Amino acid sequence: MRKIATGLLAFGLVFTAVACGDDSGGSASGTGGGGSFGDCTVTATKGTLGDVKLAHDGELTVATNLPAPGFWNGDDPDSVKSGYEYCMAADIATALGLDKVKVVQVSFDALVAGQTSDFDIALSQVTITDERKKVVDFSVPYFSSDQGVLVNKGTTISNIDEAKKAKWGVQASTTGQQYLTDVVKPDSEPSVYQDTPSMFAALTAKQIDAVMLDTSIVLGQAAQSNGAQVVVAQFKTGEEYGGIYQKGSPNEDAINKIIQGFADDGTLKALSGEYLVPQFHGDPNSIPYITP
Amino acid sequence: MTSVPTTGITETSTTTTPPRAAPHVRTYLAPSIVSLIFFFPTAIPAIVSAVKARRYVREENTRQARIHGDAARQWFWMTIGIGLTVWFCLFAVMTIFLNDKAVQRVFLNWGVISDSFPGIRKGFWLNVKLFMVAEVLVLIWSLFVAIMRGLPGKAAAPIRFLVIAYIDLFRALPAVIVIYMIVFGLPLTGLPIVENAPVFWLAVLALTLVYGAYVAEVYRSGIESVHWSQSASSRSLGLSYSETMRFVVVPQAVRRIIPPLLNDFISLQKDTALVGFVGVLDAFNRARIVAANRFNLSAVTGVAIAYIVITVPLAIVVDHLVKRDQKKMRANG
Repeated sequence: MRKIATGLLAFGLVFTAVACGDDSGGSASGTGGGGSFGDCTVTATKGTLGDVKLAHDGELTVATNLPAPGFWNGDDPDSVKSGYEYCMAADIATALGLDKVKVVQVSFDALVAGQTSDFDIALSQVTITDERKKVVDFSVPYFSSDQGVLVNKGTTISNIDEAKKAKWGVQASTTGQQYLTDVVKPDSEPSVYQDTPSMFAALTAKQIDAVMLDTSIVLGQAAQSNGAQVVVAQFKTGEEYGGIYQKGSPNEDAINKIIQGFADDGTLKALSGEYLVPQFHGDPNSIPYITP
Repeated sequence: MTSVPTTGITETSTTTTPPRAAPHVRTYLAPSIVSLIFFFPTAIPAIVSAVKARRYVREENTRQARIHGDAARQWFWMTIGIGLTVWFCLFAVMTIFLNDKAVQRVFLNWGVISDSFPGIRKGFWLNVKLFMVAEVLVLIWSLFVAIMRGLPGKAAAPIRFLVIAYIDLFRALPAVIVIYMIVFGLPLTGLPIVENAPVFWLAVLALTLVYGAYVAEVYRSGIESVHWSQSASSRSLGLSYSETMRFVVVPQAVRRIIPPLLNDFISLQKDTALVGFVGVLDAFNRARIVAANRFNLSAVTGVAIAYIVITVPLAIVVDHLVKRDQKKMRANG
């Protein structure tokens, strides 16, 4: 009897310790790193918050979907130190007079379906589309990209017929998936993956022949693979990335002005030069275009 | 050979038997020679014994032949057993080294495993918290559900109906769908408490609901396995239904079902990996990110090792506790 009581007491203590030690908003999402801006060189001038309402006071809460080499360099939200979108977030935070960026991991399809909350802006290489505009609010565009074709070294896809014959993989809820189904119309049904790691793992395992995803993203993966995978072609879509706000967020105008300022004064071009061009190993414009 | 003539019956030799053929003794010579390819060291004694057996058979010394034949048989089977095990292990190790050590490079790169370890450990701690909390809630909730399901009488029929519906529904739904719907769906409803609940607690709720259904059935089987004479005699002694349950039936029932409960607990530990679907950075999700960044799956092997390290000792400890408990029960009658 006493043993049962002690057992229950132990259980209860463990339970409460775990439950109460969890109050930091749940460790479900990663927290921002110790150094406020990692290795970024911040070029924005320090501004003031104005009437921007933050999700968490004192820090800019940015949601993203890792991994995203080139845009967010790091294995988990705590350890991201550089990257195009990370340093852009650092610049935005500085322009708002903040000195901390908190990075939060969310699932991509939940993000573009407007199902995520508790963040100020989401920067996750999200293409602006009319369908998505119905459920989320976009910022002004900050990057333009086409759809790239990633294959294992040795596969050739140089025209639309070869493209139709290949076995494709796409990520769920992306414009690449949309483009493949609507425009390319391959002969066999493409495989759909929830996230990029699974998709690239399937390509490496030769379960799919080709991946359709934004050129900048697949160029990052090609660089990671040390030549095992290459971007052989792209399709011209001229799509643009925008940051996502929660629908009806009051901060949209203020942050949009900041981002537009960066586009105008060359900050974004400099960021691209520092973090993305090294990934590209050359000019993305030199990748041949396929006309469907 | 003399035959005693009887009245008119034809002569047949009834008193002597034909010379006996040599009794068949299995020498195991041929199998022993074949077993050389399985495992050389133990096949030698097998062959030696078999040869001796054959010699004794030729000398018609049946007893010695049988003794050595049996020794050959035992050595033969030992050879097969050891041989199969050794060949299998060799094969497993070989696959790691095939294709220029491809399996080792992709799955067992120790550099990647140790580099990613701090991040994985942080994610794994989340899994551990999840299943510790969920398991406590599951054990309590399922017992409640199982008892509700077993309430006797017409008055309890609606309750029984609801409970059976709950159990059937949540056993039918895959755990990943329940997690998805609860973590993303409940906050959308705008209900007071769940609207801003942290994802951790929503995941705990989802896992509790799913596993509660399975474990309730396990409890029920334990309760029903307690012989009806127990509750009959306890009712005759004047205990009420709830007192019978509390003091007589459930203590006996729980002792019997500890192995299946452990099974479900281990299963719950594995299913905490499903929270990766809703964006939570648990061990497996972090490992996948590392795998994509490093172009190598060894981080996932690290997570697998972590799961093995916690599960195997747990199973050993619980088996030991069950054995000790059974000894106690037997001693008392």
